[in-house]
Amino acid sequence: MDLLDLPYNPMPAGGRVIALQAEDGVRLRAAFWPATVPEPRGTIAIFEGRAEQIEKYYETVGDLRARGFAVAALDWRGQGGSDRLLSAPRRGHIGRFADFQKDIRVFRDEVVLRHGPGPVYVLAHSMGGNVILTHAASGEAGWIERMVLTAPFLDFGRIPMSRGMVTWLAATLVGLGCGRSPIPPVGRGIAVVKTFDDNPLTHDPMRFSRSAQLLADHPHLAIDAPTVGWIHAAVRSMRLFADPRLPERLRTPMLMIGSGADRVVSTAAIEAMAARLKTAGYVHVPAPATRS
Amino acid sequence: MEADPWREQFLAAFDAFIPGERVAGKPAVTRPETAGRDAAAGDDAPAGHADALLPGRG
Repeated sequence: MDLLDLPYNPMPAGGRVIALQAEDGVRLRAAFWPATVPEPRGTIAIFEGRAEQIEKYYETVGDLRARGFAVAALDWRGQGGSDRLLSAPRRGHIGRFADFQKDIRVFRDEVVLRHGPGPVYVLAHSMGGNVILTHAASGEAGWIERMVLTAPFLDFGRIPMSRGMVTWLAATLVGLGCGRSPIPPVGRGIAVVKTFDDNPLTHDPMRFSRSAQLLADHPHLAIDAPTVGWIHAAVRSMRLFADPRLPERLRTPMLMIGSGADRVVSTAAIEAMAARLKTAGYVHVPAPATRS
Repeated sequence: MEADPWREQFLAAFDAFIPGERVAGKPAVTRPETAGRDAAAGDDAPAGHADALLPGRG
């Protein structure tokens, strides 16, 4: 395992890759950067979104270290530099989101708490926000001081059918043994980005190009559209967020940040969740008026 | 890499929320008037999911 250091995406100095093995044997890639100041403000644990990889966060790692933090990052099972879960390595698959909790546990114990100065803060994006919220609701978040969740995946954004239909269709296809198949083409537009013009992710052409170049040059870090099983697992993970007892279970102070033009996740669901929780704040980043 | 207005908003929110020391209590809630809407069907706003942080895939 290694971390790429590229002219167009240089690795922040002083970092190192750490190979982990989850309790079920899945090998995971993690990274740690020490703080650059004598008295660190703490450690930021980064939990990426679906299909991302540690390299995509180098710029953010630099921003966080410039603020006096040490930084730890993890590639979830099935993506980035971690083990793939299917023999077809480009398929974005997970059988159940609960398996990601195994990744958090070994990352927490072997990287964050072993190497990082306290207190520990979490920065989680999209699917990472879903998984860390589930972790916090399980009562295991005593190691986390605060959490910042950008565009957490609490519900689908713009999809070509209702969530009820997605739930039924995914369950039916999984029941028919199609859980490891890619989702049907009708749903892939939101998940597979081909060009800047049709991308649902960013208005920033430079950062888009950097990420696209990274994956074009190093395709082993990439995955494609989610499988039917991933969708099924995602829908099941959302049951927790509808639990009326959730506010009692989530005690970690957190800030949720929603994006005004988000088509991937539901910004309304994020704001509604922030309003329900006793310990959550919400900041809305408005949609750009025009493409820059 | 150039400054990005949406990224700057993320970093400002991050800086305001992460104190770098142990604190207690509910953080302040910021709720601009623009909050609360999903991107509407037919809305041609080009992007957004990762604008607050980085280009991502979700």
